[in-house]
Amino acid sequence: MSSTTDNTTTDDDATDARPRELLQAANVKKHFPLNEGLIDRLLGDDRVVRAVDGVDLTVHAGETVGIVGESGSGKSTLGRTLSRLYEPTDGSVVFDGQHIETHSGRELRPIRRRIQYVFQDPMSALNPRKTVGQSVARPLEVHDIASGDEKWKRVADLFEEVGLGPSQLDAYPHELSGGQRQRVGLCRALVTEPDLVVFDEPVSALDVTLQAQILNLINRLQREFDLSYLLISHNLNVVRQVCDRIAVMYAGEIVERGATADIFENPQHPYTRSLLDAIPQIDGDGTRADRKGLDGEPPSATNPPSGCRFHPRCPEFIDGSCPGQKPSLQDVEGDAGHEAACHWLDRSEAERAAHTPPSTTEREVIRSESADD
Amino acid sequence: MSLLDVENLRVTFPVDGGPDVRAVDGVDIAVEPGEIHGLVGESGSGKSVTARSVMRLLDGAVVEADRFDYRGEDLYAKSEAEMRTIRGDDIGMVFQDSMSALNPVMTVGEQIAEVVRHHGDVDESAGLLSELRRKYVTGTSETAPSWRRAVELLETVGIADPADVATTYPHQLSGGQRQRVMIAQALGGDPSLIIADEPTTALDVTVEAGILDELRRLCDEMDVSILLITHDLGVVAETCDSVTVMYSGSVMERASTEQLFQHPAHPYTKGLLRSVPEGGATDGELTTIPGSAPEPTERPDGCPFRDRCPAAFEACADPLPEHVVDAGHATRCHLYTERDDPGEVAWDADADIDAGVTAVTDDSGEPSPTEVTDG
Repeated sequence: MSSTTDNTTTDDDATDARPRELLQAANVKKHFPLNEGLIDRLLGDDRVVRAVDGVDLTVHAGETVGIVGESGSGKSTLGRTLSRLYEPTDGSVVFDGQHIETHSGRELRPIRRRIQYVFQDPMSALNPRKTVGQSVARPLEVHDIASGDEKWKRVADLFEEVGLGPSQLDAYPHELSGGQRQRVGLCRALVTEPDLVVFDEPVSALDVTLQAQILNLINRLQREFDLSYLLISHNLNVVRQVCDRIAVMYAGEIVERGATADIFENPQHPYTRSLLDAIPQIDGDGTRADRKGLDGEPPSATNPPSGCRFHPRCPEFIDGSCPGQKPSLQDVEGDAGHEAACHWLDRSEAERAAHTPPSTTEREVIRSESADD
Repeated sequence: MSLLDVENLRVTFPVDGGPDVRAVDGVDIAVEPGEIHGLVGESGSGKSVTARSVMRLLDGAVVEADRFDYRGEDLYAKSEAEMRTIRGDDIGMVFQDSMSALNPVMTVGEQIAEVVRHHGDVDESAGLLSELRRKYVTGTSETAPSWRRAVELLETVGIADPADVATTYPHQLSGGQRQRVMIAQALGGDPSLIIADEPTTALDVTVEAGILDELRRLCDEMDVSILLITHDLGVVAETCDSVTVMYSGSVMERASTEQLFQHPAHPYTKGLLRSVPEGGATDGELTTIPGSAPEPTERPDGCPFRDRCPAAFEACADPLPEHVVDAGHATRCHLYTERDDPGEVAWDADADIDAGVTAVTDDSGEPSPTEVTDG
C-alpha cells in the first residue's frame, strides 16, 4: 500500500475534508490504427480511430462517477483505458499516487487486483466450462490472496452478500438467469477487495425489474465495502440513480461534467440538453411529451469535425466559431465543479428558443468560410 | 370491429424428452383500427411469441385459440398460400435487429422494390424468372415503378436523399437508417397492421426518439395500426394509445396508456412502474420486485406472479379472474374479485436480497392488503 492511503478521511467527517483522489487521468488518448498491415504502413496509411481524444477525469475515493454518451462516443474505450485493459496512446493515468499509464505485465498485477471491471454481458465474461464458484475463486489464486478452505469461505460469503445461495456455487453460467449471472459478475469483481470498480453498462442487458435489483445492490455494496465506482452507461436514468458526478462524452471528448443534480437540472452543453430531451418520460399524465431527437449521426472517429465536434448536429449552432475553434471546458457560473465545452454558454433561454439553426448546407458554407480565415 | 381480435391464445412448444413449454397461456389481444397498441413485458413473458403467432411464424409450435380473427376472418383457417399474401399485403413486420433482418448482399432499394412487386400496387411481373433475372443479372431498373415506389417509401419514413440511399447496402447505413428502411419495407404492401418487435431497443435514445415519432406519424397520417412490442415503459408512455401488460405467458392488465400510468391496478404493473429509474430522488433506493420470473415449466398454479407478489393470498392459486376496473381497463387479479378493497401494495425496497421470499414490509405508512381485510 502506498502512504497516501493512510491519511484517508473516514466516511463520517468526509463533509468538508476533500476526499482523496483515487484515479486521475490527464489528457488521456486512445487511438486505434485503422490498418495495421505492413503494406498499409509502407504506403503511409497512418489513419487512426480517435476513440478517446484527450480526456481529463478524476475519481475521488468513495464516489461514483458516471460516463454517458451515445454508442461510439468512446465511453467504453475510456473505461478500459483507465483500468489499463488498454494502454493509452498518450496522457497520464495516476492511480492512488502512482503513474500506471506505461505499466506492463508484472507491474500491472497489483493494480489489476485493485481496479476491477464488470462487463455488460456476464454470459460472455464468465467461462462457460467452469462453475461460477470456480470463476469467482480464480482471482484469489491468481493474486495469492487465499487458498483452500479460506478461499471457498470468502467466495461463499460474497455469494451470500449479493443474494445468491450456496447451492449456486456449483452452477454453470448457463444454468443461471441474467440477473443471477450479473450478481456473479459483481462477486468476481469484488472478491479481490478492489478500491475501484469500473462498470460497463452493468444493467443494459437486464429487464427493468432486475435492473432495479442490481442497481440497489451496487449502491449497497459501495457503502459496505467502501468502494469507488466508474460507471459507463448510455442510460441517463441509470446514471442519475447511482452517480455523484457525471461526465458527458461526445466523439471521444468530454463536453460537460459536473454534479449529477447540476447536469440534470442545469445542463449547459447543447448535446447534454439534446440527450436529456430524448429520454422517454413516464410521468404518465397520458399526454405525449414532445420528445426531441437529434438529427444526423455521431461523427466519424477517424476524421472528426473541426472545432466543436458537435457542430454538424448542434441545434444551437451559431456562427463560424463553432466549426472554427475548439471550445475548452469552462466553469459554469454558480455550480461548483460544473464545466461545459461550448462557445455559447451564457445565452439565455429566450435567446436559445428564438434561435433557428442553419441547415446542413448552410453549416458547410459557414465552416468553409471560417476555415479560409 | 377490432382489426385484430385474439381470444384465449395458447402457444406450446413441444420439447424432446422434457415437458412441453407453454410460452403463452391464455392471452387475449385486441388491436383497434388506427391505434398503436403496446405489448409490454419482461423477457420470457411471451410477448414476441404472441406477436409472431399473428404472422403464423412459429414453426413447430402448437397454436390454439378460441378466436384468432383479423378483419373478422380466422387467420388460422387460411391456407399457407393465402397467408403468404397476408404477410406483407395486410400485415407488415419490423424486427429488432435490422442487421440480421435485411439482406446484406442486396441494396436496400432492391429489397423494398421486391416487397412492392409482391405485395404492393404496381403493374410489374413478380414471377420467378423475372425476379431471378433482376436479382442476378439486371437489378431493378431505376425507372421501374417498383423502384420509384421504393424511393418514395424511403422518403416517407424520413430518409434524407432517398434516391441515393436506395442504392446502398445495409452495412453502409447507420442503425437508425436501417430501422427506417425496415419500416419502409413493411409499408411496401400498404398494410393495415404493422407488428414492430422492439423496433428501437438497439438504438441510442437520440435516434430512438426519431423512429418513435415516425411510427406515431404513420399511424396518424397513413391509417396504419401498430402492435408495438417492447420492454420499455417509457416507449409505451410516449407512443402507445393502449397497452397490454404480459407476465410469464399471461395478460396481467389491459388499459389505455393514460389509465395504465395513472391508475395501475395489478400489483405487477405497479411494481414495474416503480422499478423504472427516473429522475427526482437520486439517493433513494429503487423499488424492486423480489426474485425473477418463473420458468414456463415451473409456473405456479393460478396467478403466475403470486410467488413474487407482496399481496398474494390463498385465492391466488385459483385460475386467473377477469375484473373490469373501468371502461377499457381490465386486470386479472384476485384482489379485485375476492376483496372489497384491494388496498395498496407495499413494495419493499430491500426485498432484492431475499430473492423469492414474499415480503410484506410496510414503511410507507400505507395499510398492506392483508391488514385491510383483517381490520
